[in-house]
Amino acid sequence: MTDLVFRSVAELSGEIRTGALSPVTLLETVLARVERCRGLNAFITVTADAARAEARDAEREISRGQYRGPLHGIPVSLKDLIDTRGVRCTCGSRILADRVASADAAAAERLRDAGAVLLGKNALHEFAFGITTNNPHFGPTRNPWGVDRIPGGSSGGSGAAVAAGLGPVSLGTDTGGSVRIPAALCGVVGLKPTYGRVSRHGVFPLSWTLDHVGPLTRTVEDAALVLQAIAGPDPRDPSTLGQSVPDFRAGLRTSVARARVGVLADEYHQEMADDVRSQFRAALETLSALGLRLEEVRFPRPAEARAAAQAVILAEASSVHEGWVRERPGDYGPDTLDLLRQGLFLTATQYLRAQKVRAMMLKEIDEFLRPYAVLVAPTTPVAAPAIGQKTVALAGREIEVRGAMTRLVRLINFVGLPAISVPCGFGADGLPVGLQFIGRAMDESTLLAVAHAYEQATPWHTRRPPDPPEHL
Amino acid sequence: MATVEDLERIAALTGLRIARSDLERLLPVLNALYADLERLSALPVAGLEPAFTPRRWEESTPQSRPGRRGEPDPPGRGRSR
Repeated sequence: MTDLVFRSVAELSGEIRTGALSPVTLLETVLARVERCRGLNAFITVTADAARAEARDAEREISRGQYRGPLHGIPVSLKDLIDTRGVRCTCGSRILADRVASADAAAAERLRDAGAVLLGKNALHEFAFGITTNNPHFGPTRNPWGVDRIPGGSSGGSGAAVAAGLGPVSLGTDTGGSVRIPAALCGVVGLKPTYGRVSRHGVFPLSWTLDHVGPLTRTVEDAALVLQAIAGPDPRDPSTLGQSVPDFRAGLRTSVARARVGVLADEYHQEMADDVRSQFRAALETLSALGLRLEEVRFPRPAEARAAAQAVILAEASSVHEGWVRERPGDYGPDTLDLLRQGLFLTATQYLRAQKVRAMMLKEIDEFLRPYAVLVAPTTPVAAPAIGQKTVALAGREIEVRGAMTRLVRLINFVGLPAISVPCGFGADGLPVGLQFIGRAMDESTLLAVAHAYEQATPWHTRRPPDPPEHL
Repeated sequence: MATVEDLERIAALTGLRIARSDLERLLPVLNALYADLERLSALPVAGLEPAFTPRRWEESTPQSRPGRRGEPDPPGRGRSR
């Protein structure tokens, strides 16, 4: 049964469709695994009874020939800031610890329409404002590859769950890397679609102009299948209107040989730990061997984009939380409160200056990207730090963990491009390292095709973490 | 460079209650952020309108038509749902 929990959606769905595998059996196997791995603290809420009812419904429908598609009967979890009707949605906070959602978020609604079985709500960094998932109210989430290590964040419960076999899919959110960072640190796939590709209706905001919803999965093909289900216009989120939705799974079969790949080789993107560098170089060799044409390129103004993005996230998050920061500061964890207070000391003109820089960057980055199918860089410059660790060594100096982990991912939220993290080996401590591909706006098909080609040429997505100790 | 007194004045003006010790802790972080943002003034952005979002494509067209969720467009043909 251990093998069953590590299968991909593509594998499981083939058996479910033919009746060889019952959604009820699959769910019970996953629930047993969730119980076995409770010490990882990957879930805030497990909705076992509701999930059992959904699995029975799926089984009944499929047996009548009403198969809905590849997510039908598949157990899926969601980061606990994505609303699901009748289930508490805490946002990893004390402030919303007892809030029960009255309706499904758009993404949850679409997963239900696709027949997915909603298994529960994953742990996260408090209000998604951080990258450790060391949550002061619900305890730390642990990395399955090293239980003394962080899983990354803010979608850390999602990363840990998918890596440990607690369901093949989790939905996360990515405002400054929060899908890609846990994917990299936990050795799974994390996709941040283009800004506006997936509705954020019913998702608690961190920063309106940087927030994205995206899947964490064990394979690139599974990420394509989930994106297919959740993508598309939603009048309740105007950022999504007017888009066209291609067949992402079919796009995986597109040949990527001879595609031009920009390797981010500027000083900013080259600061990384030695073990990450060696895995990154090996990944570039694999891409070359696949026939892709690699060219070293310099990302336009990365430090400026990073500074502007920091101003935007601080100001917007502080606006979301302003009332609570004034009235209930003691109900926040110290790191989240510090960040929210920083935003209250920014001026309107500083915020608008950052948004003007964004206007300039959008133009520059689109011209910069035009000749390339994708860009490539590591996802994080170091592997998973220890729980409670404050700084990491990078390029001969000590850098705060949050700054180091968001360094190579936050810029991409600022310009709204799609990006994916895929496993690319293991670092010095046996911890996973992630490879990030960045695509052109609304061209997830090419992004997924390149990532899929890389994945299929390497063994990393087949590796499984050890079972966690029984008593964590 | 801002001082703790500057931050105290801003906090008072905006009705934010915050201990001086907390302001002392935030001060170096804020000064670094202010310096970063000041450097952005050197970029050629004076004549630009703020972007507000990274959205790039046009709004729905009259050709848009509703479709079943999770169902891809036919190959080679886009669709707005």
